Amino acid sequence: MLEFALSGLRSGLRGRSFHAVFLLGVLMIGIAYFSGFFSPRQPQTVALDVGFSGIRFSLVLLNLFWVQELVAREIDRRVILFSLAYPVSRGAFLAGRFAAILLLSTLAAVLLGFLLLLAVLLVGGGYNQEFGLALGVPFWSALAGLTLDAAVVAAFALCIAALSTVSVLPLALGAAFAVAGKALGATVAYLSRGADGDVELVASYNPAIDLIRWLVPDLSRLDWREWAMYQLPPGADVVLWSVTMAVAYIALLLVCASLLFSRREFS
Amino acid sequence: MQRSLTALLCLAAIVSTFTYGLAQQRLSALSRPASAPELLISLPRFAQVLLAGGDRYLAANLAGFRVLVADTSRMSAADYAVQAKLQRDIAWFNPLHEDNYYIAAAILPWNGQVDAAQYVLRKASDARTFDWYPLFHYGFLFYHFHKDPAAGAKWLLEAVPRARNQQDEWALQNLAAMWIEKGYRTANAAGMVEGMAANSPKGAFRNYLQVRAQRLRDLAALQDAVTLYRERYGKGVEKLDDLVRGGVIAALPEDPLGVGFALDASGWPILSAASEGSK
Repeated sequence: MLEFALSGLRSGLRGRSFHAVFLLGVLMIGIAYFSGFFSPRQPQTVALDVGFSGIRFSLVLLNLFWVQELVAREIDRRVILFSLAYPVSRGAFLAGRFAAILLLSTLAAVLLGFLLLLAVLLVGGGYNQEFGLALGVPFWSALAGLTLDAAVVAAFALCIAALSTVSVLPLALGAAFAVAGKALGATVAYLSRGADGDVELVASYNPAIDLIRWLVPDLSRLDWREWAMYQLPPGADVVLWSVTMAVAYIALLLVCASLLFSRREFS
Repeated sequence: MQRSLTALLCLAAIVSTFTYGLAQQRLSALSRPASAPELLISLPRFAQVLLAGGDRYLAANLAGFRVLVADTSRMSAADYAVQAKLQRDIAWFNPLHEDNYYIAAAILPWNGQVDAAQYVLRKASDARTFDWYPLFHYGFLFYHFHKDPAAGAKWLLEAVPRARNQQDEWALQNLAAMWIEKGYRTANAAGMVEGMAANSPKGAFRNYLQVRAQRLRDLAALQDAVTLYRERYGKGVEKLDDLVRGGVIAALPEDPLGVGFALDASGWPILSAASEGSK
């Protein structure tokens, strides 16, 4: 498993898509910096907010490309047969690859995080906003939440890659899953508060959402940026249960992926 | 064969260059459609969240940028209605958004969108428990737009525990006492809008607030002049020009927004309805 993780790390760092998406992440931090200048009252908060959104977008994309490069494309090109020739289980191969993606993702999050910190500290042009930011533990915990969010998406894409015969399918379905999981919280909140009085909408969508919320995890629960932006820490129980939910979902997906992958036949 | 192919390609290049030049010339002669309104449409909340990749904070910021780049000097009543919708949406996506409640307080109620401003400020007051400004602006809506100083003062007093220093606490309590004791006064409203302008960074937004404050100052001056006219002549004015003819003021103030001032049924100066839709 360690061997697969190390080879995954090497391939992931060398991949062209990694370089392209990482550049996109850097560009997003640049956009976050400039977006701060739009704000009349809270330029640093807006830059941080947009930066967090940019990092989340980049991390999800990076994770999806890594799954595609390290698993889906290897299957597609039959290179995987060399890896599977080792006397280890197929589950170990997937676990090794996932560990590599997790490490790469953490590394990318830390690098982009430092860039974002720099951008936030430079923005504002000397304007002292009244409500300050919390750029210590709250900032890094928000980034940890976003990294975990991207890891859930990676595990889902890995599960799809384990059974898919089309190499772009993990990328496409993973992206749809990332949007659905992130939007779920807003959707549930909208419906639970009566959908602005639209009774028909609530009646028609509530049963579907009640089912979907069990199938798709609410990834917006892993977004703790309000602590860094407004010094409003999330409740300990919220953090505990959202991390538990994410880790359990990742474990479930990895087990499913191992089972599907071990039964798969390569012609 | 080779030579004729080259000649054919050269001919094609000349023809396409000529056609391109002709098309460009014709296009430049055609008038463009009139520029679109400042804020043309607002998407449903679901669509905005989905377009932001499911990220409600990003959806709030994207809508916020649309509001921030709109030029108030070119906006119509329909544009303000769209802005009100957008600001309600932002308050729903991220009620903690500071720019959103500040802009809602500074622009929406002055342009006929008092309900939307109330919604945004209410959301911000509930979410930003560390910030007394949303409650202050919320109280100001009752004071100035609903002409209900007692209700306004109640919200100011609610804001007192949120003040971060003794000075702010006293200022809020004094203001609440003044509103209750003296009722509504245009000059007080002007002072508060001036305060908002002073707290904003330099630029178009601060200028906008200063213009609003100046209008209220001018209105207060007109109201004082009418009071003086009544004392001097024992009757009210029928037209604002009576103030000049009666020698109470040298000239009528020029409205910096170009909308003007008017008299209500009782002969009391007010801001013209076009810019103060809620009145």
